[in-house]
Amino acid sequence: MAVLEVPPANDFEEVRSVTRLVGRAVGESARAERLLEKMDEILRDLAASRPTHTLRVASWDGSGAVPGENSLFAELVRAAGGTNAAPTGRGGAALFGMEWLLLAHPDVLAYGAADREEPSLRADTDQHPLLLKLYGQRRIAYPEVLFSCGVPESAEAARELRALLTRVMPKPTSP
Amino acid sequence: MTRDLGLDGLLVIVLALVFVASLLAGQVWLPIGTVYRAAFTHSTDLAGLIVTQLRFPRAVLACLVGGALGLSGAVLQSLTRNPLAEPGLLGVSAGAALGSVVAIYFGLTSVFELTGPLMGLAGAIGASALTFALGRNGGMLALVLAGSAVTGLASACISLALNLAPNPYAAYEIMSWLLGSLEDRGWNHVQLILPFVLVGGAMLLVLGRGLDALSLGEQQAASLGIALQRLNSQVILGTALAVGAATSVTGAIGFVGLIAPHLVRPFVRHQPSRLLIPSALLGAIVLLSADVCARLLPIGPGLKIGVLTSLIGTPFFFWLVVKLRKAAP
Repeated sequence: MAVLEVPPANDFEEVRSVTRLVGRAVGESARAERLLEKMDEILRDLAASRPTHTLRVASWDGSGAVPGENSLFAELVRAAGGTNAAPTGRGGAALFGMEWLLLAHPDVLAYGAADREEPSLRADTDQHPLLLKLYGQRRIAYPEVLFSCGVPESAEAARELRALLTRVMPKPTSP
Repeated sequence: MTRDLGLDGLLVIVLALVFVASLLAGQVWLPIGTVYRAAFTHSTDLAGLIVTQLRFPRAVLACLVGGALGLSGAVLQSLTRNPLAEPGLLGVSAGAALGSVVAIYFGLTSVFELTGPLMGLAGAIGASALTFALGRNGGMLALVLAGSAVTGLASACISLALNLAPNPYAAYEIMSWLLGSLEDRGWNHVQLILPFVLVGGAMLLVLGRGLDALSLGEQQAASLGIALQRLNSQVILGTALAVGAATSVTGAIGFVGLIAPHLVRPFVRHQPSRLLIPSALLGAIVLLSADVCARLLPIGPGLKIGVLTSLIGTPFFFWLVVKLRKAAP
């Protein structure tokens, strides 16, 4: 049995190469290209309708690693029209506490929502009075599973993220 | 007495200096003027909020927890006449940890934010009650053995929770919580433990006379009119309230209760009653200093204070053992 080692895809360029790699390996290159075309179409749409105001988005779960600048999360945030507010130079993941979070000045806090919500302190860490005060109205929950492994469908996740960000985007003030 | 006031005064000054340092130090150093404005003018800019809502409660919590650990360590070392005694000896810390772990494991923390600390407190009181029930009427040795047994039971249950954790996040959180931390705690945590630490601390602070008498031996203490059973129960309840409440919000922080009384003892001529207040103050200084170090060490923001106190405390423990061996006949 042949074993194919597939590297993780943390941006859309890597998604393209990985999808083609897998497509070739299973004899489905044409299907891989169709998936990539659909992905690129969504990405083009997102780029064409890029919001004027670039939101700084921080993924925050209060404990453990958070996606850094080279993560798929950062790539999806970029595609959605925002920027990742995680510390620079931290690669794929970073650890940060609430003080760092505030000093990073994110516009939006994004919480990774697992498929199955089971007992976990993560559900409780966002209840700090200061976070509620500053970010009570500027928090979104994104489907964590779609932000973990880069696949052509990740473009769809970026589109959903754009919709979530639009909801919390500051409304233009009338002149 | 004057010497004690001098020592206490010196420790208060050091504590005040470390407290100010803990308000200045962090992810970024804040100018002292910013901290002053935040503290006295209720400024609501970001720096002000960081000082008043994050660093200030964290520093107060470190003082309360360190003070509780130092004081109870001094009382327990005097009560058991064992220089290696510390709050974990009676199963209090393990009981509090188990209570909080149960709250995390069953997801009770998502029902009500402070369920974890409250369960921790309940665990501490339950563990102390069990220690007392098992060890009463059997003298000090029975009490210490009972404490070890309760600690073993609580540790086994915590291991079971880790073993059967419903998801990797819960296992990670339990493990991470057990390492001990003051990070991201707020005024709500201070409010939660303050009454328990104050009441527990007060119960321990009034035991000086009994502990002085006990240093002569149990029979001599009894002949001096000290009710040993009552003394034991007061120590257990006071420790359960103060340390249990502390552990329930910070996780297990070791060695502070062991180190503080030892460092102070030579300055109070080994008299238990004179040991209590300085030990509480030094416990607060040690923990607050460790917290400042944890923030400043270039290891990254993930360093847990419980790990740091263990790293600092373990060599002290070795030194203590070597010293005891040399002193042995």
